[in-house]
Amino acid sequence: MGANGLWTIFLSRLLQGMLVVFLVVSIVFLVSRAARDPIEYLTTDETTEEEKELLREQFGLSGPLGKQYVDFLVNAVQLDLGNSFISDLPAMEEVLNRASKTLQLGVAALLFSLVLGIPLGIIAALRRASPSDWFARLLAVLGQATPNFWLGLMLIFFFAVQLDWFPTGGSGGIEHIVLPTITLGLLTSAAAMRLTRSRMIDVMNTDFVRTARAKGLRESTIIWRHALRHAILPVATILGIQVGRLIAGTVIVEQVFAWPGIGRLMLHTITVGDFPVMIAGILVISSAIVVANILVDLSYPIIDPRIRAGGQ
Amino acid sequence: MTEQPSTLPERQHGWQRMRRTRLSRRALIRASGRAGVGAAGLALVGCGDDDDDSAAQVQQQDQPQSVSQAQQQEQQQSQSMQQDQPQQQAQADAQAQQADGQDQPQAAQQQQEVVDLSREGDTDWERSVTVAVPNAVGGLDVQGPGNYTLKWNGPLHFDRLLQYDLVTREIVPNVGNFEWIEDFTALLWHLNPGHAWHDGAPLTAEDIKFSIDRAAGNAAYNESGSYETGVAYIVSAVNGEVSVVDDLTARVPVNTDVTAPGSTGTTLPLVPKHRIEEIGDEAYNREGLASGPFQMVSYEPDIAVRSVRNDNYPIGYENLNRQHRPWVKEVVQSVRPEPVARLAAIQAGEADVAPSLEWELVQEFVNEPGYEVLFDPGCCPHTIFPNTRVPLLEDGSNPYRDIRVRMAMNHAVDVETIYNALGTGREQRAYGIGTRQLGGMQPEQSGPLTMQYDVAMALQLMDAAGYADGFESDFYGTAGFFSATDQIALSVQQYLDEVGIRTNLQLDPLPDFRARMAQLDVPGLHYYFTNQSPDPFQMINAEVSIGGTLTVAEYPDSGIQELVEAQRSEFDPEQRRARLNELAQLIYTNASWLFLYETIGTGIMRDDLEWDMKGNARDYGGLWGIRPLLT
Repeated sequence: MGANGLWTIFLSRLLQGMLVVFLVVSIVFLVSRAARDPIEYLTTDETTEEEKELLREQFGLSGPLGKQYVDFLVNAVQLDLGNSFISDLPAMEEVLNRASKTLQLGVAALLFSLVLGIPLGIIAALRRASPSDWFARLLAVLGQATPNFWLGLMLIFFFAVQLDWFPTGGSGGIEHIVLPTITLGLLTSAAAMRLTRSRMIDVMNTDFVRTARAKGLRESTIIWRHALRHAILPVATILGIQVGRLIAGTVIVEQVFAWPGIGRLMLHTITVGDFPVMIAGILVISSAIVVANILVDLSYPIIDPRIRAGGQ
Repeated sequence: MTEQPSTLPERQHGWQRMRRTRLSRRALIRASGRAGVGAAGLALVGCGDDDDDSAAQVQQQDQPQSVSQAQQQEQQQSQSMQQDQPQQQAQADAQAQQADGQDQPQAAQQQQEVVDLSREGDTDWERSVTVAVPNAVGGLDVQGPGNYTLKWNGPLHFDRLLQYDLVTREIVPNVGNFEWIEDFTALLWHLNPGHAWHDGAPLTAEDIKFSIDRAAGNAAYNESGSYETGVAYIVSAVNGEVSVVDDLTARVPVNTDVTAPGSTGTTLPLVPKHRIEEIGDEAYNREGLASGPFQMVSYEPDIAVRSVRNDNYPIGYENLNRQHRPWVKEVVQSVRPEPVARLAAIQAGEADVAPSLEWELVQEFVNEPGYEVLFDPGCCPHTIFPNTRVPLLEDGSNPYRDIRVRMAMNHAVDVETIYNALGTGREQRAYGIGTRQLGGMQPEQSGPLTMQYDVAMALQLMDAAGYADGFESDFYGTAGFFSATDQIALSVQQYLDEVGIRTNLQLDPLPDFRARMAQLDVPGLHYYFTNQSPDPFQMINAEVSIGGTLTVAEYPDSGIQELVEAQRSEFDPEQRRARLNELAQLIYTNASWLFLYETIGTGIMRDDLEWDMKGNARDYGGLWGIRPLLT
């Protein structure tokens, strides 16, 4: 595949992604407006209907839903999603201020899941039915079955309260990110481990691996240079999907660990009805997922030479 | 165990069984944590909640003698309650019991325990205190939309003209005082001299004018300022131009009493004219500048707010806090959104105070060395409002318009058992229109609690009203607003079912619930809350007065509206207090609502601190009252 092919994939995925983001944001906008009057969050018992109407006008919530939607789209194209109902600061600014924190946590969790999941999957595949295989599989099952919320609290209880190794929450130094990273990354690492294991078992039984062994290549060379390259492609695909899960998981993990990212902001905005910030958050999150998947698509030719060569 | 006079004393209701088997999160965490991850499943299945069992035992044991006596008296009076004019009968009963001097001794004792937390020890004036708070988001402009109610900012850093003193229960000077002029059509606000903003600029009458104009949207520099509903009351109250008389005096023309507790004088936060004009609204929203007892040092949204004591803050005024400077040198509000994580922060030594934790989480710390459990008596009487405005049944009738049905509801629900099981046991029954625990209407002032749990009485009243077979009604409540509201609603539903009021319960988030209630024409029961301020000024407007935004329970022929108008037009504090007492008594004897109880907020702090909350946590400068002790 040449540069043109890559550009074609990129543009195609970009257009699809933009459509996805547009649909997601539109659905969220329409459903949130139709489901609830945001003004009810901002008013007190004594607020009269006249005062509520004033507020609706001020926040652009009066008029037909269709008109509100068109106004919203016109402004959204310019990345103007209005001001927060709560802080009166630009909604997009509120979200972007926290984006770096969520990015930190997401990248850390992704790295954690790769560093833990792929080697464990390889070890489990190479030592099938051994104690290490059983351990890895048990860890994978627990990782996939354990709710983030519960795991986070358990980690706080053991490592922060009992052992005093890490802080209970907040952000700052590297010590603050350890527990949320484990909490967030365990699920993804479990998925990576299981998929790596099954793919490695398949690949290790293929003809080219037998040929490599017959040629006298070292086992480590066979595993890392030849087998893993074949096994890793589906893992990369899964990780692209897992990025969405990771971001979704930040809502809970950031809440438990007081990590000041987009996830916690989203939860807060939903609770208090700060719809401009909520929409801005959805826009950023859906865009991030789209970008992550485009990057995964673009990584295929790099990981698998056959795609690069054959344009598959 | 004290014998219960109820006709169904031995019955255990479904909601009580539900409560007993419910796992607390903390119990789950501890059990699961100790057993390890592998045993988590076993913990989920097998462990019960000992604390809840003990709470259930308390409910069996702690029925106060006075309550039983009251119930026995009412049983003796039950025959006469079926007469044609039950309201008059109820009033007569109330007066008779008041003459007997009957009150709530247990409740009074509990109140004393709540207030009397003072311990020995000198003050550590250099101490930094970290408070674990649920959130700290928003802008720094205290008059901005949503920012006004942010406890982490407004009450701590900003000043108001007056303050409601929780000790004396009176309006007292804060940064200024007032006098009525021109036959109660205008106020003169007098600022205390020597008060300054945190940047050193003096607080002047220009700031008062600016703050009012800005909140009301009357100023060219902030034409959209009327958005803030918390201070929007002044928009309708100020009916002319605010003028500056001299540096420390402003004249404010008003059409109603803005010095009543809970109204503008005590709620309008003052903002600095010089700074906002210099940098503009938007920059001020990012920067903030105040004049209060604490000065903000840094603000990291949703991470931490750091404030230091304003050592130049004038003291000596006649109110709760002004007799001393804040004891704490530095307050760090550290965000921990998850309640269990707030508790963990205390245990791990990262925080000193966590004021908002469910009783379920903190109850096992009551006798734990090193910790002090906080009891905050400052919140909302739970009340169920029957909609009397619109028909309920298909034949166009509305049983809730009959006082006998409303009294039957009040007799049907065992309120003490509910709060002993679901609350701390320190709660008090709701009465009248105020928050009793913060100095609102007391039964001793207006009349005793006549409607006690008595199923036989309730059934007789239902029969007398022509509803021996009962009726069906919708029942709306909120979920997730206060602790256990869903369980309280379920318990009330089951109690009402015992007397034939079969309800369809629907629980919604608060905004949805309130929007429905505000429609005023949704028939059925609406489980909401009366005011959390000591003075019922605001809730009368919203929930009692005919035409109020949430007044679904209207009684136009009861005399209630006349008393509403009377207290509203009364500017003399003593006279107004008398009208409010009459109003409270009438609302109660009219069985206007189903009266439940006033909640107690709970929290936890280290035992080298002292904090008599007095409901202050949700009012002005609550953290001001924290006193670090030298150890």
